[in-house]
Amino acid sequence: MKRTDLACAVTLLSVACGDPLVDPQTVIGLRVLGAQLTSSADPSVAHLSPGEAGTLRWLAVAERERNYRALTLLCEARPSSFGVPQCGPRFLEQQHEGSTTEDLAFDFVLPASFSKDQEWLSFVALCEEGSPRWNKHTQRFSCTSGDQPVTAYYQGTSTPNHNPDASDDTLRFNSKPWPAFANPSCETEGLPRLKRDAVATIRLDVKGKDSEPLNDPSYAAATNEALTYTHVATTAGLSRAFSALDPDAQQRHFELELDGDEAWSDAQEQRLGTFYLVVSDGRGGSDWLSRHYCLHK
Amino acid sequence: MQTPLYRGAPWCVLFRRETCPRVPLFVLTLLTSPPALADLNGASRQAPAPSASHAVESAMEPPRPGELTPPSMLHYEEAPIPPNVALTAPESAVLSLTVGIDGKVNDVQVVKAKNPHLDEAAAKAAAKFVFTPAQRVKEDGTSEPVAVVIQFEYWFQPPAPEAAETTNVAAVVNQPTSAQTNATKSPPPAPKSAGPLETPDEEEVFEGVATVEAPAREPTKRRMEKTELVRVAGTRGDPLRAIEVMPGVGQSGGEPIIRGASGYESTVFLDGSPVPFLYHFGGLTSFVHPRLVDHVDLYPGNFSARYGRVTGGVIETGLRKPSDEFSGMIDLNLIDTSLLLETPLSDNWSIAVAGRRSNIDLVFENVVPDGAFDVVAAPVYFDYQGILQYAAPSGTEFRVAAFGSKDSLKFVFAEPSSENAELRGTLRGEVEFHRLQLLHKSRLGDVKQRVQLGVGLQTLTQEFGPNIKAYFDIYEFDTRAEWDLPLGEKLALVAGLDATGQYLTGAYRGPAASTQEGSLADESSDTVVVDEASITLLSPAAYVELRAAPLPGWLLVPGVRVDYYDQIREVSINPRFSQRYSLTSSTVIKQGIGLYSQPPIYHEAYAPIGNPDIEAYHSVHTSLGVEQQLLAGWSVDVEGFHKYLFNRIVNTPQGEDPHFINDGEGRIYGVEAGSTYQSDFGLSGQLAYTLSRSERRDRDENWRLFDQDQTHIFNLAATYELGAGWELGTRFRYVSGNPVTPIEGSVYDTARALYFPLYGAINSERDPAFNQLDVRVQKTFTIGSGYIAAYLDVQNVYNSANPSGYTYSYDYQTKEASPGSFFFPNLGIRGKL
Repeated sequence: MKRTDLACAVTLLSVACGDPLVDPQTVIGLRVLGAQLTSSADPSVAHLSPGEAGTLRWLAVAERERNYRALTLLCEARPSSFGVPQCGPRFLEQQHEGSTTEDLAFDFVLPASFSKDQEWLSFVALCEEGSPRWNKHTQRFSCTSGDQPVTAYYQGTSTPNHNPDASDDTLRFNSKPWPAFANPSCETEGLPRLKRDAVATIRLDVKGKDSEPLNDPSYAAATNEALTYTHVATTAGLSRAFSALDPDAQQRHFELELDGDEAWSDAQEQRLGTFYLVVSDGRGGSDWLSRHYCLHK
Repeated sequence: MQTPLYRGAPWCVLFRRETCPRVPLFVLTLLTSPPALADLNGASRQAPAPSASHAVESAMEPPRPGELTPPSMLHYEEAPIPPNVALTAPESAVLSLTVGIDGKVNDVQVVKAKNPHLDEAAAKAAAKFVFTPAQRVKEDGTSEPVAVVIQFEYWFQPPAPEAAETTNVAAVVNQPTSAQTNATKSPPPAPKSAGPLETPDEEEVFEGVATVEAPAREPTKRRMEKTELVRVAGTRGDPLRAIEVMPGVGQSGGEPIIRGASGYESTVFLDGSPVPFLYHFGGLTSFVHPRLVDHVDLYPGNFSARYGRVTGGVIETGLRKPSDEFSGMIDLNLIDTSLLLETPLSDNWSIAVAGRRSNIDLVFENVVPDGAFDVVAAPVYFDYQGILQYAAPSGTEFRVAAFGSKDSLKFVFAEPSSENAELRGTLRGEVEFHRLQLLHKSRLGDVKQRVQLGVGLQTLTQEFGPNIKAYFDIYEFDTRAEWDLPLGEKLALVAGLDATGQYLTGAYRGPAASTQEGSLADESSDTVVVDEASITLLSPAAYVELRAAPLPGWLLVPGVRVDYYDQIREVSINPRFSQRYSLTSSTVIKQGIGLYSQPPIYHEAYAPIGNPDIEAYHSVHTSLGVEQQLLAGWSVDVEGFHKYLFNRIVNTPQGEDPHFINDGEGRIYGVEAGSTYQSDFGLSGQLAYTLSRSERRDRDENWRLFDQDQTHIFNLAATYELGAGWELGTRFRYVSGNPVTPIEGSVYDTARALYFPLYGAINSERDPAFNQLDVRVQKTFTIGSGYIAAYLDVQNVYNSANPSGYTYSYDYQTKEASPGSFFFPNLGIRGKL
């Protein structure tokens, strides 16, 4: 007699149309946005077989440059269906000191003792104050300062997969190509500028064959990977945090808005903002890019 | 019970209040029916057992000046069969009882002298009956108590009583006097209206025949009659919501929480058949037209061997017979519109049909935010019921009932959710069922027989975004045959067979399943797929129950039930025992102990998503209580209970293979008290209080609270007839907040772009207490033989927020309390030809 089925649906419906408590599209504080595994043999490959070497790269961002200490773990994944995956025996543990302006990456070799179907996990924890610690009994991180660390994980398999490639997609800001600039400022020529009372349109045209076929004959399986785009900005005003291109999508592009009025929360003459876009294929394949813009009166 | 196959379907792990997002009021108000929308504010009474019902009263009619409401029996007295009488066939004593305004029997006369010994015994017993006084409607619409003379036919008959048959409650054996006979108190096989009787001066005449229901086989049976059910406000007369005013029933927006048991551990029967669904949209309103319901019985624990496959409680809903005159009724309110038509077809045949459709879709698009989504099919529900009844003068009855229900909605989201990229695309849900039920009641000599068969179809389709999709088609049947056999003066035996069967075909893609209770929000991290599966479930059972009356007023009911669960190839044997003892004419002591077993939900035993070696789980019920009639119209019932649950089905620690194991236990204990009052000046009310604690232990972990453990459950409901057709009802509730599991942090899943919460100890915190006042006002206009009634139900008059869990930000770093109830006025009009 339980009738939560439709209640579930209706409540989930309300998830989609309710106003969030905090806008996820606005970066406030230290945050991990993505992780990308690349095989040393072929950087486009997003899986490793036992004994193969690879690199795991994390995208850590903040609304301004922030320094942190990081702890990364690589471990066997315990069988699990619920909650955060559980870490079994660890085969790598590394400490880092870095900042949000740098790559957080490390190289490793997947132990040859792994069976082909065995999954593995990588956790990362970032602490701005103190150092991260791992408690294998509680399966949780903590900062020695007592603060709560920023934590993320990546689950690896040996299932063949490739990373999507965001570099061949076309990103536009108010219909104009939006190039990347190294160490830009508001004075950088060609940098998109947004007035306080204006609204900019950001558009991504997806190119290439990032959506791989899945060859999964099971019930309701998608024919190809769905690409999920997480887009955030270091200023407020971005219209949403997520876009998706499902296999049956008719269009291969999407648009966002960036509201200069909402973004202008600081009483400054001008302000440099950063836009991040992370694409994920849902199976561990990922890529990202970032762009800058200038807010001015 | 018959387990709905989709129950606990894995997709529902997505719905947990702990992570309930910021919910637009319009959605909750119109669709999900949180607890506040299930409010009751009308008066209702807990009916003590034994109780009386009245063949002549109609729940449909508004009071008219001069109209009499017959007295309602509060206490029944056993009549011993005189030693010099050997009954070989049913015999009765027709009595004339003068019931005073205090409800006591002031005078007894034998109307038709038959057997002087039986007449005398019946008269002596009847002199000790206690009634609620009869009520007469005055010109101003208020009621006043009046003394009346009623005709009462006291039956001594070997076979089981009619009332027991219709209410599934067997009769008690009377005082034995002969080795060859036993007698039961019961109404006659075919009650007939009696003519007006001579009445004392200054007293009104009441015309009718009182029928007396036999005592329950269970220690505790709580009944609400149709007259009470339709007056309960806040539910728009929803009878299955009305049970929430009874002791032992918790505050719930969906499935009833009975004595600290999960909703899926209790079952609801409709005229003897288990129902697949209970509420539209998870709790908005039940699928049965309220004006077709005759009564609702609640067995909160220690229920009869007649019921099985559940470890919690049982709710039995009885449909009434179609009216013996043509009538029609329409009810129009903000939520839905319903129509009821009934008519006799011949002397023995009658028919009733009813239907209801929601009005939500008519206003839905006007209240949803612009651009939130494309509405393809706004939420709609409908239900229907039909009853074709044959009743022969011999007592044989045949009934064909058809009923069904459908809920559907579909939305297409323009963009992914602002907080969860996986919530995107199409949201679609359709649930429907159709059922045909055949019921035949007859007598085979001294043996009373009841045979019924139900067949039906359920279909369910679900789709939410790209990762959750499912459909199920379920063909099902249920059947029951029950015989009531007199074995002697002091003994009677009830024996029965019942079976349920389901054939399911379906497929599923979605989150891995977790247990129905004690699991955490957003817990599932795995997607599982079940490809085009077919499952056959069959569960036959047999039961016997003995009723023994070793002494006057003492009823012993030992019984045993044997169930076979085909899916897990397991037999459960459940011995049960209960007894009731009348200490005095106004005091009854009751006690029960028994074993109750429940099979796993189908998917828990279905590999590869479940464990094919899983076993049934069990509960031992014990209870001890007392029923006390204090004054005429005022009764009190107090009962202590304890339940021990063992072999509970819980998840493996991380949901790993085999996913489910029998490694949990539970303990539930408490005391519940109820008091009903019916005045002689139009005021009636009920007070109910339950103090309880319900705990679970999963695997080797510490004891924790049950998901819906509610320490204090307090209900006060009252109705007052103001006169001139005005009626005012109100209800106040205070209930301890449900336990909640705190969230202490989160971890970001980079592949899904989704944060997973890190939970603290399960159910280690509580929501604030729930408190709410509801008010209902109704004005009835009598027009000829019909009426029009306008009513206003105001739920949560002072708009108590009643927080229920928290709404979290996308990363679980920020939270705010989620409102659990809202101010909600519902205006409606109802008319009857």
